[in-house]
Amino acid sequence: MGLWRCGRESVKNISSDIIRGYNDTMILFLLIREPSYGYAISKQIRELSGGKYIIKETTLYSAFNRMEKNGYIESYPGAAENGKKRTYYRITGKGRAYYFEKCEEWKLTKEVLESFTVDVPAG
Amino acid sequence: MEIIESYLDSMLGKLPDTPELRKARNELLQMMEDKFGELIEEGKSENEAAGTVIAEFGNLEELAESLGLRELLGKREIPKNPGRVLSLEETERCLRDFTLRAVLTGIGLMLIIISPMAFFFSDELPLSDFSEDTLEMSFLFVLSALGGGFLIYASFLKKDWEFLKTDALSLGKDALDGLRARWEKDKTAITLCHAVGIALLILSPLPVVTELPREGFEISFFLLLVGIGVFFLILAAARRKIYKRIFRQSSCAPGEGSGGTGEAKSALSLEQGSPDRREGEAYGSRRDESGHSPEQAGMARTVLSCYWQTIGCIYLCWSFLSFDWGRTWLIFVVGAALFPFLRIMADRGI
Repeated sequence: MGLWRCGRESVKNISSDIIRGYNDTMILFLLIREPSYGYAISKQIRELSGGKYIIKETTLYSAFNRMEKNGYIESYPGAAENGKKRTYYRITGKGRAYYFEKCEEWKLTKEVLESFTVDVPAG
Repeated sequence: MEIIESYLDSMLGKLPDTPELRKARNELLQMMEDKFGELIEEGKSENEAAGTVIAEFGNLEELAESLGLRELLGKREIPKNPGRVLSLEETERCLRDFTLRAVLTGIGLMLIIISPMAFFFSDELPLSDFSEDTLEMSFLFVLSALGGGFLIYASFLKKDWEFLKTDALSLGKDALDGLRARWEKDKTAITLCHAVGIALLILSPLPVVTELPREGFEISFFLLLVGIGVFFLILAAARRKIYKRIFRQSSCAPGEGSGGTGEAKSALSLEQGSPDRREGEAYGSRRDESGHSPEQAGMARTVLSCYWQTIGCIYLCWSFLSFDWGRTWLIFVVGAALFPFLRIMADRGI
Protein backbone atom coordinates (compact mmCIF):
# COMPACT_ATOMS: atom_id res chain seq x y z
CA MET A 1 0.00 0.00 0.00
CA GLY A 2 2.78 2.40 0.92
CA LEU A 3 4.56 1.73 -2.37
CA TRP A 4 1.36 2.15 -4.22
CA ARG A 5 0.88 5.63 -2.93
CA CYS A 6 4.49 6.77 -3.35
CA GLY A 7 4.78 9.34 -6.12
CA ARG A 8 1.16 8.98 -7.05
CA GLU A 9 -0.54 12.08 -8.31
CA SER A 10 -4.29 12.32 -8.19
CA VAL A 11 -5.77 12.31 -11.67
CA LYS A 12 -7.36 15.66 -12.32
CA ASN A 13 -8.27 15.27 -15.95
CA ILE A 14 -10.64 13.02 -17.75
CA SER A 15 -9.04 10.77 -20.31
CA SER A 16 -9.53 12.58 -23.59
CA ASP A 17 -9.31 9.34 -25.53
CA ILE A 18 -12.31 7.90 -23.81
CA ILE A 19 -14.35 11.04 -23.59
CA ARG A 20 -13.88 11.60 -27.32
CA GLY A 21 -15.90 8.49 -27.99
CA TYR A 22 -18.74 9.70 -25.80
CA ASN A 23 -19.15 13.36 -26.69
CA ASP A 24 -22.03 12.37 -28.95
CA THR A 25 -23.61 10.36 -26.19
CA MET A 26 -23.54 13.28 -23.78
CA ILE A 27 -25.03 15.67 -26.30
CA LEU A 28 -27.77 13.24 -27.27
CA PHE A 29 -28.65 12.67 -23.62
CA LEU A 30 -29.26 16.37 -23.23
CA LEU A 31 -31.18 16.63 -26.48
CA ILE A 32 -33.48 13.78 -25.45
CA ARG A 33 -34.47 15.86 -22.47
CA GLU A 34 -35.30 18.83 -24.69
CA PRO A 35 -34.15 20.48 -27.93
CA SER A 36 -31.43 23.01 -27.25
CA TYR A 37 -28.70 25.19 -28.76
CA GLY A 38 -24.92 25.28 -28.78
CA TYR A 39 -23.90 27.11 -25.66
CA ALA A 40 -26.69 25.71 -23.53
CA ILE A 41 -25.45 22.19 -24.28
CA SER A 42 -21.88 23.19 -23.46
CA LYS A 43 -23.00 24.68 -20.16
CA GLN A 44 -25.10 21.68 -19.20
CA ILE A 45 -22.23 19.30 -19.96
CA ARG A 46 -20.01 21.25 -17.62
CA GLU A 47 -22.62 21.40 -14.90
CA LEU A 48 -23.72 17.77 -15.13
CA SER A 49 -20.11 16.60 -15.02
CA GLY A 50 -19.56 18.61 -11.88
CA GLY A 51 -17.05 20.83 -13.61
CA LYS A 52 -14.82 17.85 -14.38
CA TYR A 53 -15.35 18.07 -18.13
CA ILE A 54 -15.43 21.30 -20.06
CA ILE A 55 -16.17 20.67 -23.70
CA LYS A 56 -14.41 22.87 -26.26
CA GLU A 57 -16.35 24.87 -28.81
CA THR A 58 -14.60 23.21 -31.72
CA THR A 59 -15.29 19.77 -30.29
CA LEU A 60 -18.92 20.65 -29.75
CA TYR A 61 -19.40 22.05 -33.21
CA SER A 62 -17.62 19.11 -34.80
CA ALA A 63 -19.98 16.79 -32.94
CA PHE A 64 -23.06 18.71 -34.06
CA ASN A 65 -21.82 18.71 -37.62
CA ARG A 66 -21.05 15.02 -37.64
CA MET A 67 -24.27 13.95 -36.00
CA GLU A 68 -26.32 16.07 -38.35
CA LYS A 69 -24.58 14.49 -41.32
CA ASN A 70 -25.30 11.05 -39.87
CA GLY A 71 -28.92 11.98 -39.31
CA TYR A 72 -28.88 11.70 -35.53
CA ILE A 73 -29.94 15.31 -34.95
CA GLU A 74 -31.64 18.06 -36.90
CA SER A 75 -30.93 21.75 -36.80
CA TYR A 76 -33.55 24.43 -37.12
CA PRO A 77 -33.38 28.20 -36.84
CA GLY A 78 -34.64 29.91 -33.76
CA ALA A 79 -34.25 33.16 -31.92
CA ALA A 80 -32.35 34.11 -28.79
CA GLU A 81 -33.77 36.29 -26.01
CA ASN A 82 -32.14 39.34 -27.52
CA GLY A 83 -33.67 38.52 -30.87
CA LYS A 84 -30.51 37.30 -32.53
CA LYS A 85 -30.70 34.30 -34.82
CA ARG A 86 -29.64 31.06 -33.23
CA THR A 87 -29.41 27.47 -34.41
CA TYR A 88 -31.34 24.95 -32.36
CA TYR A 89 -30.91 21.18 -32.47
CA ARG A 90 -33.30 18.33 -31.80
CA ILE A 91 -32.76 14.61 -31.72
CA THR A 92 -34.17 12.25 -34.36
CA GLY A 93 -35.41 8.70 -34.11
CA LYS A 94 -32.15 7.48 -35.55
CA GLY A 95 -30.35 9.55 -32.94
CA ARG A 96 -32.30 7.95 -30.15
CA ALA A 97 -31.43 4.48 -31.39
CA TYR A 98 -27.78 5.46 -31.64
CA TYR A 99 -27.89 6.88 -28.11
CA PHE A 100 -29.14 3.64 -26.62
CA GLU A 101 -26.51 1.72 -28.53
CA LYS A 102 -23.85 3.91 -27.00
CA CYS A 103 -25.33 3.37 -23.53
CA GLU A 104 -25.03 -0.37 -24.05
CA GLU A 105 -21.50 0.04 -25.30
CA TRP A 106 -20.52 2.00 -22.23
CA LYS A 107 -22.06 -0.58 -19.93
CA LEU A 108 -20.00 -3.27 -21.61
CA THR A 109 -16.81 -1.20 -21.49
CA LYS A 110 -17.36 -0.49 -17.81
CA GLU A 111 -17.93 -4.13 -17.01
CA VAL A 112 -14.74 -5.19 -18.82
CA LEU A 113 -12.57 -2.55 -17.27
CA GLU A 114 -13.91 -3.15 -13.77
CA SER A 115 -12.21 -6.52 -13.82
CA PHE A 116 -8.89 -4.76 -14.30
CA THR A 117 -9.17 -1.72 -12.09
CA VAL A 118 -9.38 -1.23 -8.35
CA ASP A 119 -10.89 1.43 -6.20
CA VAL A 120 -8.03 3.63 -5.11
CA PRO A 121 -8.65 5.10 -1.67
CA ALA A 122 -8.82 8.90 -1.80
CA GLY A 123 -6.31 11.17 -0.05
CA MET B 1 -16.41 40.96 -28.19
CA GLU B 2 -14.37 42.07 -31.15
CA ILE B 3 -11.41 40.27 -29.65
CA ILE B 4 -13.36 37.05 -29.87
CA GLU B 5 -14.45 37.64 -33.41
CA SER B 6 -10.95 38.50 -34.62
CA TYR B 7 -9.57 35.48 -32.80
CA LEU B 8 -12.09 33.27 -34.57
CA ASP B 9 -11.29 34.82 -37.93
CA SER B 10 -7.60 34.41 -37.43
CA MET B 11 -8.06 30.74 -36.58
CA LEU B 12 -10.35 30.07 -39.51
CA GLY B 13 -8.49 32.28 -41.92
CA LYS B 14 -6.14 29.48 -42.76
CA LEU B 15 -8.94 27.28 -44.01
CA PRO B 16 -10.38 27.58 -47.50
CA ASP B 17 -13.51 29.65 -47.81
CA THR B 18 -16.42 27.27 -48.39
CA PRO B 19 -20.11 27.58 -47.49
CA GLU B 20 -19.55 24.90 -44.86
CA LEU B 21 -16.81 26.96 -43.28
CA ARG B 22 -19.02 30.01 -43.19
CA LYS B 23 -21.76 28.02 -41.50
CA ALA B 24 -19.26 26.75 -38.97
CA ARG B 25 -17.99 30.24 -38.32
CA ASN B 26 -21.46 31.54 -37.61
CA GLU B 27 -22.30 28.75 -35.21
CA LEU B 28 -18.96 28.96 -33.41
CA LEU B 29 -19.26 32.71 -33.08
CA GLN B 30 -22.75 32.30 -31.67
CA MET B 31 -21.56 29.81 -29.08
CA MET B 32 -18.65 32.02 -28.10
CA GLU B 33 -20.87 35.07 -27.76
CA ASP B 34 -23.37 33.21 -25.60
CA LYS B 35 -20.56 32.02 -23.36
CA PHE B 36 -19.08 35.50 -23.21
CA GLY B 37 -22.45 37.00 -22.28
CA GLU B 38 -22.97 34.58 -19.45
CA LEU B 39 -19.47 35.10 -18.07
CA ILE B 40 -20.09 38.83 -18.02
CA GLU B 41 -23.38 38.25 -16.18
CA GLU B 42 -21.49 36.19 -13.65
CA GLY B 43 -19.44 39.28 -12.94
CA LYS B 44 -16.26 38.70 -14.90
CA SER B 45 -14.54 41.60 -16.58
CA GLU B 46 -14.65 41.80 -20.37
CA ASN B 47 -11.01 40.86 -20.69
CA GLU B 48 -11.33 37.91 -18.34
CA ALA B 49 -14.42 36.68 -20.10
CA ALA B 50 -12.82 36.99 -23.53
CA GLY B 51 -9.74 35.21 -22.25
CA THR B 52 -11.77 32.32 -20.89
CA VAL B 53 -13.73 31.98 -24.10
CA ILE B 54 -10.57 31.91 -26.17
CA ALA B 55 -8.80 29.50 -23.85
CA GLU B 56 -11.65 27.03 -23.97
CA PHE B 57 -12.13 27.33 -27.71
CA GLY B 58 -10.21 24.35 -28.97
CA ASN B 59 -7.97 23.71 -31.92
CA LEU B 60 -8.20 23.71 -35.65
CA GLU B 61 -7.57 20.04 -36.24
CA GLU B 62 -10.87 18.77 -34.95
CA LEU B 63 -12.72 21.42 -36.86
CA ALA B 64 -10.96 20.80 -40.13
CA GLU B 65 -11.53 17.10 -39.82
CA SER B 66 -15.21 17.49 -39.18
CA LEU B 67 -15.53 19.86 -42.11
CA GLY B 68 -14.09 17.20 -44.34
CA LEU B 69 -11.21 19.44 -45.25
CA ARG B 70 -8.68 16.69 -44.92
CA GLU B 71 -9.97 15.26 -48.19
CA LEU B 72 -9.94 18.63 -49.93
CA LEU B 73 -6.35 19.22 -49.03
CA GLY B 74 -5.06 15.76 -49.65
CA LYS B 75 -2.78 14.13 -47.18
CA ARG B 76 -1.21 17.35 -45.99
CA GLU B 77 -1.17 18.51 -42.36
CA ILE B 78 -4.02 20.95 -42.02
CA PRO B 79 -3.05 23.12 -39.04
CA LYS B 80 0.31 23.93 -40.61
CA ASN B 81 -1.02 25.91 -43.52
CA PRO B 82 -3.92 24.60 -45.55
CA GLY B 83 -3.51 27.51 -47.87
CA ARG B 84 -5.64 29.35 -50.31
CA VAL B 85 -7.38 27.50 -53.07
CA LEU B 86 -6.69 28.60 -56.62
CA SER B 87 -9.07 27.60 -59.35
CA LEU B 88 -8.05 26.99 -62.95
CA GLU B 89 -9.58 30.28 -63.96
CA GLU B 90 -7.72 32.16 -61.27
CA THR B 91 -4.46 30.56 -62.31
CA GLU B 92 -5.00 31.57 -65.92
CA ARG B 93 -5.85 35.08 -64.88
CA CYS B 94 -2.78 35.23 -62.69
CA LEU B 95 -0.51 34.19 -65.52
CA ARG B 96 -2.10 36.71 -67.86
CA ASP B 97 -1.71 39.51 -65.35
CA PHE B 98 1.88 38.68 -64.70
CA THR B 99 2.77 38.41 -68.36
CA LEU B 100 1.17 41.78 -68.96
CA ARG B 101 3.08 43.17 -66.04
CA ALA B 102 6.34 41.73 -67.36
CA VAL B 103 5.73 43.28 -70.78
CA LEU B 104 4.94 46.64 -69.25
CA THR B 105 7.96 46.61 -66.99
CA GLY B 106 10.16 45.61 -69.89
CA ILE B 107 8.86 48.35 -72.14
CA GLY B 108 9.12 50.84 -69.31
CA LEU B 109 12.75 50.07 -68.64
CA MET B 110 13.53 49.99 -72.33
CA LEU B 111 12.08 53.46 -72.82
CA ILE B 112 14.08 54.81 -69.92
CA ILE B 113 17.25 53.29 -71.26
CA ILE B 114 16.87 54.72 -74.74
CA SER B 115 15.66 58.11 -73.61
CA PRO B 116 19.10 59.76 -73.81
CA MET B 117 19.46 58.53 -77.37
CA ALA B 118 18.58 61.88 -78.85
CA PHE B 119 21.67 63.47 -77.35
CA PHE B 120 23.76 61.31 -79.62
CA PHE B 121 22.00 60.99 -82.92
CA SER B 122 20.85 64.58 -83.05
CA ASP B 123 24.42 65.55 -83.89
CA GLU B 124 24.01 63.78 -87.20
CA LEU B 125 20.80 65.46 -88.15
CA PRO B 126 20.86 68.72 -90.04
CA LEU B 127 19.05 70.75 -87.42
CA SER B 128 19.55 74.16 -85.96
CA ASP B 129 20.99 74.37 -82.48
CA PHE B 130 17.69 75.28 -80.97
CA SER B 131 15.67 72.47 -82.51
CA GLU B 132 18.50 70.11 -81.70
CA ASP B 133 18.24 70.99 -78.02
CA THR B 134 14.46 70.75 -78.09
CA LEU B 135 14.61 67.38 -79.72
CA GLU B 136 17.13 66.07 -77.22
CA MET B 137 15.25 67.29 -74.20
CA SER B 138 11.81 66.31 -75.32
CA PHE B 139 13.05 62.88 -76.32
CA LEU B 140 14.58 62.43 -72.92
CA PHE B 141 11.65 63.64 -70.91
CA VAL B 142 8.87 62.10 -72.95
CA LEU B 143 10.47 58.70 -73.06
CA SER B 144 11.46 58.74 -69.41
CA ALA B 145 8.00 59.83 -68.40
CA LEU B 146 6.37 57.16 -70.51
CA GLY B 147 8.76 54.58 -69.20
CA GLY B 148 8.17 55.62 -65.62
CA GLY B 149 4.45 55.53 -66.23
CA PHE B 150 4.62 51.99 -67.51
CA LEU B 151 6.66 50.91 -64.52
CA ILE B 152 4.26 52.44 -62.04
CA TYR B 153 1.26 50.91 -63.74
CA ALA B 154 2.99 47.56 -63.78
CA SER B 155 3.61 47.71 -60.06
CA PHE B 156 -0.10 48.36 -59.45
CA LEU B 157 -0.97 45.23 -61.32
CA LYS B 158 0.70 43.02 -58.80
CA LYS B 159 -1.38 44.29 -55.86
CA ASP B 160 -4.03 41.65 -56.46
CA TRP B 161 -1.56 38.88 -56.26
CA GLU B 162 0.43 39.88 -53.18
CA PHE B 163 -0.86 36.82 -51.36
CA LEU B 164 1.16 34.62 -53.68
CA LYS B 165 4.28 35.64 -51.86
CA THR B 166 3.05 34.72 -48.41
CA ASP B 167 0.28 32.16 -48.51
CA ALA B 168 0.61 28.54 -49.26
CA LEU B 169 -1.60 27.53 -52.15
CA SER B 170 -3.59 24.50 -52.96
CA LEU B 171 -4.57 23.84 -56.53
CA GLY B 172 -7.26 21.52 -57.69
CA LYS B 173 -6.29 18.82 -60.11
CA ASP B 174 -7.52 20.60 -63.21
CA ALA B 175 -5.83 23.84 -62.21
CA LEU B 176 -2.59 22.00 -61.71
CA ASP B 177 -2.82 20.15 -65.01
CA GLY B 178 -3.63 23.37 -66.83
CA LEU B 179 -0.72 25.09 -65.20
CA ARG B 180 1.70 22.31 -66.08
CA ALA B 181 0.51 22.30 -69.69
CA ARG B 182 1.04 26.04 -69.92
CA TRP B 183 4.47 25.71 -68.39
CA GLU B 184 5.50 23.13 -70.98
CA LYS B 185 4.30 25.38 -73.76
CA ASP B 186 5.84 28.53 -72.44
CA LYS B 187 9.09 27.09 -71.24
CA THR B 188 10.80 27.20 -74.63
CA ALA B 189 9.42 30.61 -75.46
CA ILE B 190 10.70 31.97 -72.18
CA THR B 191 14.12 30.46 -72.66
CA LEU B 192 14.23 31.89 -76.15
CA CYS B 193 13.40 35.37 -74.88
CA HIS B 194 16.13 35.00 -72.35
CA ALA B 195 18.63 33.96 -74.98
CA VAL B 196 17.71 36.80 -77.28
CA GLY B 197 18.05 39.24 -74.40
CA ILE B 198 21.49 38.01 -73.47
CA ALA B 199 22.61 37.96 -77.08
CA LEU B 200 21.48 41.52 -77.62
CA LEU B 201 23.24 42.69 -74.50
CA ILE B 202 26.44 41.04 -75.55
CA LEU B 203 26.26 42.38 -79.08
CA SER B 204 25.34 45.86 -77.94
CA PRO B 205 28.90 47.23 -77.80
CA LEU B 206 29.49 46.16 -81.39
CA PRO B 207 28.16 49.34 -83.01
CA VAL B 208 30.61 51.29 -80.91
CA VAL B 209 33.53 49.03 -81.65
CA THR B 210 33.05 48.70 -85.36
CA GLU B 211 33.27 51.80 -87.45
CA LEU B 212 29.88 53.06 -88.45
CA PRO B 213 29.47 55.81 -91.03
CA ARG B 214 27.89 58.23 -88.64
CA GLU B 215 29.46 58.32 -85.21
CA GLY B 216 26.40 59.65 -83.48
CA PHE B 217 24.46 56.57 -84.41
CA GLU B 218 26.94 54.25 -82.80
CA ILE B 219 25.99 55.07 -79.27
CA SER B 220 22.35 55.36 -80.16
CA PHE B 221 22.35 51.86 -81.52
CA PHE B 222 24.22 50.73 -78.48
CA LEU B 223 21.51 52.13 -76.24
CA LEU B 224 18.83 50.67 -78.46
CA LEU B 225 20.32 47.23 -78.34
CA VAL B 226 20.74 47.39 -74.59
CA GLY B 227 17.16 48.57 -74.20
CA ILE B 228 15.69 45.80 -76.31
CA GLY B 229 17.95 43.24 -74.66
CA VAL B 230 16.78 44.31 -71.23
CA PHE B 231 13.19 44.08 -72.38
CA PHE B 232 13.56 40.48 -73.41
CA LEU B 233 15.43 39.59 -70.27
CA ILE B 234 12.78 41.07 -68.02
CA LEU B 235 10.06 39.36 -69.98
CA ALA B 236 11.70 36.00 -69.65
CA ALA B 237 12.72 36.36 -66.02
CA ALA B 238 9.38 37.65 -64.77
CA ARG B 239 7.39 34.97 -66.55
CA ARG B 240 9.64 32.24 -65.31
CA LYS B 241 9.41 33.64 -61.80
CA ILE B 242 5.64 33.53 -61.59
CA TYR B 243 5.53 29.91 -62.67
CA LYS B 244 8.19 29.02 -60.13
CA ARG B 245 6.39 30.85 -57.39
CA ILE B 246 3.06 29.18 -57.96
CA PHE B 247 4.69 25.82 -58.09
CA ARG B 248 6.70 26.45 -54.98
CA GLN B 249 3.85 27.84 -52.93
CA SER B 250 1.69 24.88 -53.82
CA SER B 251 4.57 22.51 -53.16
CA CYS B 252 4.17 20.86 -56.53
CA ALA B 253 6.83 19.95 -59.01
CA PRO B 254 6.55 21.66 -62.40
CA GLY B 255 6.54 18.20 -63.83
CA GLU B 256 9.92 18.30 -65.43
CA GLY B 257 13.30 19.34 -64.16
CA SER B 258 13.94 23.02 -63.84
CA GLY B 259 16.54 23.54 -66.49
CA GLY B 260 15.36 27.13 -66.17
CA THR B 261 17.11 28.21 -63.01
CA GLY B 262 20.35 26.70 -64.11
CA GLU B 263 20.20 28.74 -67.21
CA ALA B 264 19.30 31.93 -65.40
CA LYS B 265 22.31 31.60 -63.15
CA SER B 266 24.68 30.80 -65.95
CA ALA B 267 23.26 33.53 -68.13
CA LEU B 268 23.94 36.00 -65.36
CA SER B 269 27.50 34.85 -64.98
CA LEU B 270 27.93 35.48 -68.67
CA GLU B 271 26.73 39.03 -68.28
CA GLN B 272 29.03 39.85 -65.47
CA GLY B 273 32.44 39.12 -66.82
CA SER B 274 33.96 39.19 -70.21
CA PRO B 275 33.89 35.57 -71.19
CA ASP B 276 37.53 34.82 -70.70
CA ARG B 277 38.71 31.33 -71.18
CA ARG B 278 38.91 30.17 -67.57
CA GLU B 279 35.41 31.28 -66.72
CA GLY B 280 34.17 29.78 -69.91
CA GLU B 281 35.71 26.41 -69.14
CA ALA B 282 34.31 26.19 -65.66
CA TYR B 283 31.02 27.37 -67.01
CA GLY B 284 30.92 24.87 -69.79
CA SER B 285 31.66 21.94 -67.52
CA ARG B 286 29.16 23.09 -64.89
CA ARG B 287 26.47 23.23 -67.45
CA ASP B 288 27.28 19.75 -68.51
CA GLU B 289 26.85 18.38 -65.04
CA SER B 290 23.57 20.09 -64.38
CA GLY B 291 22.58 19.20 -67.87
CA HIS B 292 20.80 16.86 -70.03
CA SER B 293 20.03 13.21 -70.03
CA PRO B 294 22.57 11.03 -71.78
CA GLU B 295 20.13 10.12 -74.49
CA GLN B 296 20.09 13.64 -75.81
CA ALA B 297 23.56 13.35 -77.29
CA GLY B 298 22.75 15.40 -80.35
CA MET B 299 25.05 17.58 -82.33
CA ALA B 300 24.40 20.69 -80.28
CA ARG B 301 25.11 18.79 -77.13
CA THR B 302 28.46 17.55 -78.38
CA VAL B 303 29.46 21.01 -79.49
CA LEU B 304 28.40 22.41 -76.13
CA SER B 305 30.47 20.01 -74.12
CA CYS B 306 33.72 21.38 -75.47
CA TYR B 307 32.52 24.76 -76.51
CA TRP B 308 34.74 27.12 -74.67
CA GLN B 309 37.82 25.05 -75.10
CA THR B 310 37.24 25.07 -78.85
CA ILE B 311 36.67 28.79 -78.94
CA GLY B 312 39.76 29.38 -76.90
CA CYS B 313 41.82 27.27 -79.25
CA ILE B 314 40.48 29.02 -82.34
CA TYR B 315 41.23 32.35 -80.72
CA LEU B 316 44.83 31.48 -79.98
CA CYS B 317 45.50 29.94 -83.34
CA TRP B 318 43.95 32.77 -85.29
CA SER B 319 45.73 35.39 -83.21
CA PHE B 320 49.16 33.83 -83.54
CA LEU B 321 48.75 33.33 -87.23
CA SER B 322 47.41 36.75 -88.02
CA PHE B 323 48.75 38.77 -85.11
CA ASP B 324 45.55 40.72 -85.30
CA TRP B 325 45.00 40.64 -81.51
CA GLY B 326 43.07 43.87 -81.78
CA ARG B 327 40.23 42.11 -83.49
CA THR B 328 40.44 38.43 -82.69
CA TRP B 329 39.01 38.81 -79.20
CA LEU B 330 35.71 39.42 -80.94
CA ILE B 331 35.41 35.68 -81.32
CA PHE B 332 34.62 35.44 -77.64
CA VAL B 333 31.83 37.96 -77.98
CA VAL B 334 30.31 36.12 -80.88
CA GLY B 335 30.75 32.80 -79.14
CA ALA B 336 29.02 34.07 -76.03
CA ALA B 337 26.13 35.38 -78.08
CA LEU B 338 25.71 32.04 -79.82
CA PHE B 339 25.92 30.08 -76.59
CA PRO B 340 22.32 30.42 -75.41
CA PHE B 341 21.05 29.44 -78.81
CA LEU B 342 23.17 26.34 -78.77
CA ARG B 343 21.77 25.54 -75.39
CA ILE B 344 18.21 25.75 -76.63
CA MET B 345 19.11 23.43 -79.43
CA ALA B 346 20.65 21.05 -76.96
CA ASP B 347 17.52 21.21 -74.83
CA ARG B 348 15.47 20.26 -77.82
CA GLY B 349 17.80 17.37 -78.50
CA ILE B 350 19.11 18.49 -81.85
